[in-house]
Amino acid sequence: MNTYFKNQLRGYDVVLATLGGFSEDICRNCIGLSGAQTKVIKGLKKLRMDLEGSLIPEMEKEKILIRVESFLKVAEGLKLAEEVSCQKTSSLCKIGPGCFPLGALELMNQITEPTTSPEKEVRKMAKLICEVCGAEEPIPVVH
Amino acid sequence: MLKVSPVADYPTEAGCFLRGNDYSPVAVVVLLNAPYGTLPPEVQSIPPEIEKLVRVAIETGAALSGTLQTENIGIEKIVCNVVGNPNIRYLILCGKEVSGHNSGTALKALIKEGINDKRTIVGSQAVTPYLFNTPLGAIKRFRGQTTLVDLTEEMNSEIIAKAVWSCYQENPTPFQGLSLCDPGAFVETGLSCRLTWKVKHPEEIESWEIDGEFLKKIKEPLEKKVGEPMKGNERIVSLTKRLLKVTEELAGIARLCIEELERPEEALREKSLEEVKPQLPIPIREEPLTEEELYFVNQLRGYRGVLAAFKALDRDICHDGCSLPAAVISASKRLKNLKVSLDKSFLPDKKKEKIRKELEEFEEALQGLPQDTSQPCQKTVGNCTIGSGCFANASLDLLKLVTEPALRSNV
Repeated sequence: MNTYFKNQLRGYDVVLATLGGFSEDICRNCIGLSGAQTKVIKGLKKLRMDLEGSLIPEMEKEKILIRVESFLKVAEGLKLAEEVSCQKTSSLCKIGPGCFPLGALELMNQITEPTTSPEKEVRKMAKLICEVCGAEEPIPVVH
Repeated sequence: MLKVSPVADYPTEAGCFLRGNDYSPVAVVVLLNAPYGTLPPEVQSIPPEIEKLVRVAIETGAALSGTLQTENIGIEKIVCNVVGNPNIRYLILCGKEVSGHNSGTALKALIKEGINDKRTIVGSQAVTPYLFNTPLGAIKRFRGQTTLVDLTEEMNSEIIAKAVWSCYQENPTPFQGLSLCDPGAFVETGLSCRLTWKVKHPEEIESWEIDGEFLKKIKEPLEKKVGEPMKGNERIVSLTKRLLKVTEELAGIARLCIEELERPEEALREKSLEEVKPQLPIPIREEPLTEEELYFVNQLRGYRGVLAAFKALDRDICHDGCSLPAAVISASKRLKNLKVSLDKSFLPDKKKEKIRKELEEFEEALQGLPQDTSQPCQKTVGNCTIGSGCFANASLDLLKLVTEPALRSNV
C-alpha cells in the first residue's frame, strides 16, 4: 500500500479510537470533541480526494477507499450530545488548559513522512507556438 | 414595581451581544458600521470603540448589549430577544449608522411605523428591510413594549452609560430632553420566538405570500383554452380531473390523521425515528467535591483515552513492536502508583471504592495488551514509516494534558 495513505490510515485509526474513548466521558457534551470530529471528517474527505487523484493502481485505491469510508462512518458515529458546549466554560472539565479531544487529534502530527500526498495525475498537452503569428500548432507526429 | 422572569430559553437568539441583568429595563444596540457585503460580525474583529460601548452598557446595568449590522436578520434577532424579556422597556440605539445597510434608520422606522402587509419596514431607507422570519405578534409586542432612546451617531461611552443609568431610575430622570425611569415589566408575559419559527410552523402562510400570478395561471386553463373559454364536456373533464387530484391529496392527509389517532404511540415512534436523532445518554459524573477527588477523576479521564488509543495500536503493527509494550508498562506503573495514592488519600470510603473499581478495570485492560519490550522497533525493521514520531509514546503523553490539580509527589 502506498506509504502516504498507509500512514494516514494508521493515524486516523488511533485518533478515532481515542476520540471514541473520550466520548464515553464528559467530552461527549463538549464542543472540543465536536470540533475534533469535524476535523477528522474533513481530513478523511481530503484523503479520499487525494486518493481519487493519485496514480496508484486501481485495486489498491479501492482497498484504501474502503478503509477511508469505514473510518468516515466511525467518525460520523462518534457519540456526541445534540447540544455541545465547552466543558471548561461550564466548569465541568478541570484538567487545566489542555483538551483531550484536541490532544487526540494531534496524534496525527506524529506522521511526518512522506511530507506530501502522492503525485496527482496531471495531463499536459504539449503545443508548438508559431514564432511568426503566435498561433498554437499541434506537435508534429513522427512516423 | 413589577419585575418578571424572562422566558425559559431567553435570550432565544444567539448573536454578538452580552447578557447582563435580566431585570434591567434597558437594552443597548450599538450600530456596527462595517462595509456593505462584508462577512457577518461573528467572524470579524469588532472595532475596539464599538466593543467599548457594548461593554460600558452592560457594565452600567443593561439587560442586553450588542451590535447590529443588518437591517433584516439583525433586527429580527433583536425583536426575538427583547420580547423574551418583558422587563426590557427601553432600547438605546447608538453608534455610527451602518453604511449600505442603514440598519439604524430601519430600527427606528420599525418602532415608529411598524411593517406593512409585505413585512417591509415602513419608512425605512435600508435596501432590504424585510422581517420575514419573526411572528407578527412578536413584532407588534416589540413595538408596544419598548421605547426608543435615539442616540444614533453617539460614540461617547459616558453618554451611553448615563442613558442606561437614567433608564433604570425609579423616579423620572431627565436625559437629553426625555424623561426616563423604570416603568416595570410589560403587562404581558414574555414571548419565546425564534427566527426559525416558520420552519416549525410552515402552515402559517400570510395572504401576501400567496403568489397572485400563480393563482391566475391555475385559473386560466379553466376559463380559457387558446383564448377561448372552455365549454361543455371539456370544462367538466378539466374540473373533474382537478377535483380528483384534490381528493387524492385530501385522502392522504385523512389517512395520516386516522393513523395518528388510532395508533398514537406508533405514529409518534415512526415520527421520532424519522425526524429526531436518537438522543444518547449523556454521561453524568458527580462533580468532584474536593481537589483530591478531582485529581483522581481527571487521571481516570485521561486513562480512558489512552487505553482506547493503545487498543487501536494493538491492532496495528505496533503490536509487534517495542514502543507499545513500553508505553503499556509505563501506564501500568502510573496506574499502580495512582492506586497507592488513592489508598493513602482522605477520600470517603465509598468514593475510594468507586475510583478503585475504575482503576482496576483499566489495569485489567492494560494486562491484555502486549508487554514484551524485547520485540524489535518497527521503525528499525522498516515497517513503521511515519517519520520520527511514535503513536504509542504520543498516546501515553495524552496523560500530560492533565495539569490540574498539581501532580502529587507520590505518583
